[in-house]
Order: sequence, then structure tokens, then C-alpha cells
Amino acid sequence: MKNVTTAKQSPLKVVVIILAVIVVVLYGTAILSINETARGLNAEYDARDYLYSAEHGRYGNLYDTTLRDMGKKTTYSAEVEECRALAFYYEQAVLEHAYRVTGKTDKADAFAARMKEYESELGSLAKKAADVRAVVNEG
Amino acid sequence: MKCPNCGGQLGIEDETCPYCGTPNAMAVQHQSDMAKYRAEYARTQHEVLENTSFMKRHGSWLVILVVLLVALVGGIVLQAVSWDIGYSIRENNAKRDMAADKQVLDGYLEQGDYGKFVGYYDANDYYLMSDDPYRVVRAAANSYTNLIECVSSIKDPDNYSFSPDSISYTCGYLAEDLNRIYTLEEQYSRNIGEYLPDSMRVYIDDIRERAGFIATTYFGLTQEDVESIPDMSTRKLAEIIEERVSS
Repeated sequence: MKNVTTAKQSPLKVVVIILAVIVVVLYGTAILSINETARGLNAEYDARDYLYSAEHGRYGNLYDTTLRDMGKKTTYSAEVEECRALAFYYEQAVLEHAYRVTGKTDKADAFAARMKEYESELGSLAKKAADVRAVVNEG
Repeated sequence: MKCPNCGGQLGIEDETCPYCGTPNAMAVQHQSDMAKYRAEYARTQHEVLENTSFMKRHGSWLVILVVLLVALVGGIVLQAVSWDIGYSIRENNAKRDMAADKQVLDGYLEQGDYGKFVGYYDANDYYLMSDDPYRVVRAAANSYTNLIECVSSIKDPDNYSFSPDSISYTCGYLAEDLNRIYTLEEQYSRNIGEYLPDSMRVYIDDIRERAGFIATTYFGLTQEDVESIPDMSTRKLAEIIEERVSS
């Protein structure tokens, strides 16, 4: 009969291996946590987030998304840039109408001038400008 | 040592007297003792060798075990303070960047782009700084952006699928934002000099003017309502707004 010997692992080695795994996991998660906290929880949006609000006429949501998606290193695609221009167009339209009906025509004209600036950046969303004005001016 | 029988000279190893043959009791005892000592010596030698061999086999693992236990304690401590470390890094980054970004923030304020100001300010974590001259302006500008945001949903509620509850919530938020804009000095009274330097008051005035016109144009408030906002509870203000926008 063949003599079979089983390789028995020393209990000390087993403890060391388990401890090593725990230590690696512990340091790994701590470093990830530090990195995540250091980066902050700034929301990130993609073109779909912008386009949904723009296409459904939810200009308030579009404005909110636009502001939350600001950062010094952020670059935007052309279609997102158009959506962002629409959001700022909406802000200026709100102010223009509020100042116009209150009789502050000088400031209303200044807001109207800025509306024109943003209107020139609307690109494929140019047709939305009339809708923004309709929502803001009449509701 | 002498033989007790004949007085002949005996050696310690002599089991009997070489002269008269009498047995030597001392030699028997000696040999028994020697056998016991040899056995003890052998046992001790075996134990020493055994222990030395264990250390030889496991010494490096024991060192690793001790190092790992120290690392484990360090890891637990690091886990406990990881949020503080991350937060501190963000705060330091904000302080470092503020010097360079001050021009950008001031530019937005001068242009009246309060929305861009808030977006940029928040994206760069400047609210984490303890000595922040923009703090009050940021609070006002943030509330102003909420007013702008709500105009669309108030004027076009069908597009937002608003339920009556949603309108109530929105009016509640609007009331809180309007109240915040007109009671900033009260809210920041402890640190008003630090958080609202004189150079920033012009922006607060501008935001209040805009908020007032937005409130009268879109939320149905009168000029008298706006003027009494600082003295009115937010609940009362919310009720007025809800009543006016619903009619």
C-alpha cells in the first residue's frame, strides 16, 4: 500500500496569511475612503441629463444641472455647451421679464442684451428660445 | 575509601573489594546516581535542541506576525481618521486654489452672474474654508438660483407633473429662500464682519432687488409682502405664495 502523506500547513502560517489579507483590505479601503473624501461628491452629468431637461422644456432643472456641473477643469461637448447657453438664456429671460414689468427698463434692456449673447450660442437649440420666453412671459 | 571488612583500598568504580571480595555499597550508589544524571542530561539536551529548532523553523514567521499585528492596529487607526484626512486635503486644496480663483469669483459677481458664482464656488469646495469672505454672498446667491429654478415649474406646472403636494413643497422652499435672502445679517450676526465685508454688500443689495422683482412678477407677492418678509414667518410666507400661485 502506498504511503500517502498530507502536507499540513502550520497554524502560524495560516494566521499570518489571514492577517496579511485583513491588513491589505483595511489599508486599501482606508486609502480609497481618503481619496473619495478628498475628491468630494461633486455631481457629474452627461449630455443626456442636459438634453432631457432641454427637450422637455424643464428649464429650471436645466439651470440647476448647469450650475451643479461647473468646475474649473470641466470641458463640455458642443451639445452640452448649447444646453448650458439655453440655461443661462432662461435665467436672463426670467430677469428681463421681471424688470420689464416692474418698469426698470434700463436693467431689462441689459438683460435682453445678454439674452442675445446666449441666443447666439444656442446652435441646434435656437428654436427653444421662443419657448423659454413663452414660459417666462406668459406661463 | 577503605573496605569495611578487610581495610583494603577501594576505588569508586570497584563493585567488590579486590582483596576480600566484599560488595562495595558506595560504588553501587555511585553508578545509580550517574545513570540518573546521564538521563537528566540527555532530557535537557533534547529539550534545548527541540526549542532551538522551533525558533529556527518559525522565527521569521513570528517576526512577520508581529509586524502584521502592528500594521493591523495602524490600519484600524487609519480607517478611523480617513474621513478627517480626506476632508483636510479638500480644505487645503480649497485654500490653495482660492488665491488663484478669487478673480474668477469676483468676475462672476461683477457681471451679476450669481448662478455661475455659486456653481463655481461649490464645485471648488470654497464653503469648506473657515475664513471665507464670500460666505454670505454665496448663501444669498444660492437662494437666488433656487428662485430662478422655480420660476419654470411655477409658471409651467403641467410640464413638471406637479401634484398639489409638490406645489406646497415648492412654495415652502421658495419661502425659505426668500426669507434667507432678506435676513442674512440676522443669520450671520456672530461673524457678519468676517463673512460679509463691506465690499460684498453691493451684491447682496442687487440679489435682494432681483429676488423682490422675481417674487412680485412670478410668485404673486406684492411690494408690501416683499418688504415684510424679514418680519414674516416662512410658513406664513409659504401660505401666501401657494395661495397666489394657485389662483
